[in-house]
Amino acid sequence: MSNEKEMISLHVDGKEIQAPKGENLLKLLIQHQFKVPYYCYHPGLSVAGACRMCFVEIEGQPKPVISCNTTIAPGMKVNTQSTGLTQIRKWNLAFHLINHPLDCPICDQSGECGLQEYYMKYGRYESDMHEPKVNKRKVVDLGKHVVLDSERCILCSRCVRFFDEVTKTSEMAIFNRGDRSEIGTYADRPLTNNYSLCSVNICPVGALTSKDFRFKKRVWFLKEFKSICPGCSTGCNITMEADIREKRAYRMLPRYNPDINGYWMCDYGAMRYKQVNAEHRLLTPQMKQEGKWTPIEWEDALAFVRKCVASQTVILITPQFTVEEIDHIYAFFMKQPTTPRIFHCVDPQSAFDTTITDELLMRKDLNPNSQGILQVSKKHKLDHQTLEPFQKYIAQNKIETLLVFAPSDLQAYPHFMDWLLPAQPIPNKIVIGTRIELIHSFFNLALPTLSFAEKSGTFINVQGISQNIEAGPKLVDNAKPISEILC
Amino acid sequence: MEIVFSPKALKEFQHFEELYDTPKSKLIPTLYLAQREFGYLSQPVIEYVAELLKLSPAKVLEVASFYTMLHKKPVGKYEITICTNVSCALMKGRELLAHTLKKLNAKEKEITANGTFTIRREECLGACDKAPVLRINDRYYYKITPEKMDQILKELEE
Amino acid sequence: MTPRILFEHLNEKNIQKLDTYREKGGYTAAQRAIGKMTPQQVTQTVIDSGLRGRGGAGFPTGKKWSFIPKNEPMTYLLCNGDESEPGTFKDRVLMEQLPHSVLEGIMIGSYAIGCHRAYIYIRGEFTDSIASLEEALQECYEAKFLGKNIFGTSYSLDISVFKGAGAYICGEETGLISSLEGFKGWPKIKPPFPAIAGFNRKPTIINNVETLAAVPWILNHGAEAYRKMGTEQSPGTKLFCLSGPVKNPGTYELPLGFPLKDLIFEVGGGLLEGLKLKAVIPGGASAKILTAEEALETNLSYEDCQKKGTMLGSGGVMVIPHTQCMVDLLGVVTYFFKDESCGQCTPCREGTGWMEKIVQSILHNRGRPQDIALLLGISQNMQGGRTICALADAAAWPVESYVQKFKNEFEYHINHRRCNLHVQ
Repeated sequence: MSNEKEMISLHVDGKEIQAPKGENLLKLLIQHQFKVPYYCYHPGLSVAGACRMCFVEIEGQPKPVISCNTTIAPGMKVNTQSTGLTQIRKWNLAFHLINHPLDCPICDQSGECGLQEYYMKYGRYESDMHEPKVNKRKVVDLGKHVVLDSERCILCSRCVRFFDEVTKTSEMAIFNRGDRSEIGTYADRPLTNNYSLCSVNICPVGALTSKDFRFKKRVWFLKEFKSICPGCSTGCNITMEADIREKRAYRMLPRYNPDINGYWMCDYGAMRYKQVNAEHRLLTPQMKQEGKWTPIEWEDALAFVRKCVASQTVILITPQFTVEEIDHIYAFFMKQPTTPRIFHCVDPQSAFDTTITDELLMRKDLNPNSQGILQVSKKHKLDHQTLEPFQKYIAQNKIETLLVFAPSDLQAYPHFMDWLLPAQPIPNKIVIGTRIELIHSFFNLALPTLSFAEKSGTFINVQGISQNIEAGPKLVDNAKPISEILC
Repeated sequence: MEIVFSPKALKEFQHFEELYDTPKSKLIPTLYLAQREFGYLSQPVIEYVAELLKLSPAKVLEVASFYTMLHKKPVGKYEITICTNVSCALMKGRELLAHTLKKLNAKEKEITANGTFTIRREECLGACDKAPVLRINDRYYYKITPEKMDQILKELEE
Repeated sequence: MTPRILFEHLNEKNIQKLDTYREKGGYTAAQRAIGKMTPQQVTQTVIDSGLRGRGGAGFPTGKKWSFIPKNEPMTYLLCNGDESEPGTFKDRVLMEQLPHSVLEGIMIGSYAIGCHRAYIYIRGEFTDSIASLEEALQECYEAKFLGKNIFGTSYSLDISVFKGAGAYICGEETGLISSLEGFKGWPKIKPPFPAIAGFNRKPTIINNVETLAAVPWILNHGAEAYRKMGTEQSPGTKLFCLSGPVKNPGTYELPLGFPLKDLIFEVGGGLLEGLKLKAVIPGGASAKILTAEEALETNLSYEDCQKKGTMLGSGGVMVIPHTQCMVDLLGVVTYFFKDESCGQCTPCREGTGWMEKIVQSILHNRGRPQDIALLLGISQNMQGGRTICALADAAAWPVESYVQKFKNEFEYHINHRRCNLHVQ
């Protein structure tokens, strides 16, 4: 590539490293996993240089320098470990801790807290602080998602910089001065922008915590899976965190992708994990018998499906399935002798709409895979078979079976059931999906499949970028992958 | 009270435009102006300034809360700031502060019962050769003994 | 008779007025610089004079000016009148009594760095300084000494006063810039240095009031003449602010290298009746304290103060009498730095408060024997580039030096639970 950055070479702890010219030294040290502590630095924000933890020695410099405010230079010789640096880190850590409440046993950040981590590395001493600590505000409500504990705050200013520089909403500030400094919003106004949880995610300590995650789970019980947010067509890269023994997802955190979401994701997206947990899920196949929904065995359910699709069938697919699943659905029905009519409910106009609807990342199309459905359906030359033709078709034809691949995220299609109204007279109405709401008087048979958190596959975002999701633990035992339902 | 600048203050505010190359430089001058107009920087005043300068109110309060001469709380008719830093401490500035508080039966940084005084210890006022030093509103008073203080207070109360 | 440069016309009646200032030769230096000299020549003259910054750090002024990149379309000169270092009150005298010498210095400095918009940042408490400079500015505008085409040249300059709002840290160069930009007075990380990206991210020079006020004389009399006063490394004269219980406290212009002893006992007339010299703070509250013995040996030059382990700083000389408890005095100083720390860097924000509390504990007889080592540990780990600006160092130096030099008083408080001077 012609615009590729010029590479230069430097030495860190005796090791030669190649890096792009102009790179931030601390960023490079982190990338190469050198053990340099830091709190205020964040690669997605401007440099604050306030926590004073990231000192390193550079040959030729009279004193140690903070690596976060150092640009690499050719031939630079950097030293990240020395007794002098350990002394600096130890004292700077002590300065961070003297007024800290040290309430790790009741703090949600426990296990992923920078203070704890470096205490184990540079601390492990009895505190010399015998004076009364500065008291600050605790349990300050900062809106729908965020709670502030000012005593735990180390005033790294990451949150303040985030709202200044990324969302540009500037709700937060550091008020007062000296050891009376406190972060907060103006008059404790709630954070109403759609990225408030990012401040929690980047908080290196337990000062900003998520109302949703607070007191729910110790982080060391969680296992991480690389996934893609299903909340809209942006396709933010995320990490899904779940407790495998409990079969429960606990949170979604943004995962860095420079081309899509940077370091961030929206609050709306972050809450999408909830729908995958059992209380929102269809747990077993159910059939409506004499007006009453009753659990049935998969064997019986699949037999019913096989029987129905042999008749005149119409299929409607929503763009919340993976490319692989959608392809399987098309392929499966294309080879059926009755050649059923396959429709999808992607509105091509909104599927290509790249307009951002909030401060940063969110798109109007609240589906993760509209592009995927368009591509697969096009491959089968059925891309024009959208919602309107579907409604027209079922109104004009006598159909025996309707098979709906329902949305997992109902927020994307609040009027989904209304769309189906013209299909009311169809005798066999089968729905395949994840949500408990599918036990609906409209359908006759509801079949549980996997949520996005439990399967691997591909979503294609609004820019046309294909991204993989990683399968986490199965959260609903009796749910089946599409490939096992249609086989 | 409606929080709007008087025509005179508004004219001064508009004049700031000519003085600075970036709009945010107007913030501290505008806060001073607002303090002169409205007495102190109450919440509605902070919001008014934020609106005038198209800033988030958090950023306005952040600045207001940093500087000691910007009042976030109401102050008395006379704000007395008494230096207690090194040179004044050597010349009994701290005793003068204690004397004044006792004399007026006042608490530091709070308005006296009659609404006349707010007393506050102050850092070096830059007149150490005439210690102990104090300021009352915009005026300096030099080499103040408790007796002189009593006299000053008496005159101000009249 | 000591030479007078800054105070040459101090006692002249109405010297605050433009007419009087001009009668005494005022603005001839500016006129010549702007009309007949290139900016490089002006800068070179100041470099040759050896003038060093009078705000505290003592950086060579001409060299600072030369850091401004050539041909910058937009630069700023900021005159630092935020004089807030405890024990310092010299800039105030200049601003109130000799405002035109300050303005003339700003004009010359601005011309030298190609600046067309300069500001004088004055601490908010200095009501009279603000009024005096604003009046002087108005006179200059009316006389067309400021504005467009100054002295009939193509050079234009606007100067205005900015009133600070009560924060010691705004005397720090980049804290001042932040304040002028409408932020809290948080110092900025360097690099970039202000000469490259300062006020509004443009190349900026910040000079102390006294520094700039010396420039007209240097241009009038030449660098050589200036160097004839003072010492090799500290040429010229400086204003010293003498305070504490001495007979003649005040601001004195003295050649650099003047013996501290003579300032206290000759110029200052010695201590008040019955008081003996215990210690001296030579350069504002942040300078390391000198014992009486050390003080009597010290000359007021940058190099000699440095040699004695302290600094000339702002020239705020505070005289401590034998009746003063040093724990009590350190309580005053640590409170000041705790109060004024901006809160940005952790070591300073937390360290200033911590030291203040420990000193209070010792003072109020709750101290522990290990507190002495702890105070030294804290202070030694706040200095030497551990923070963005030097306030942490400034807060640490007094603690370190008081504890080291008057350790017995701290120990007495801790061991006997009372003051050995019975002073509190």
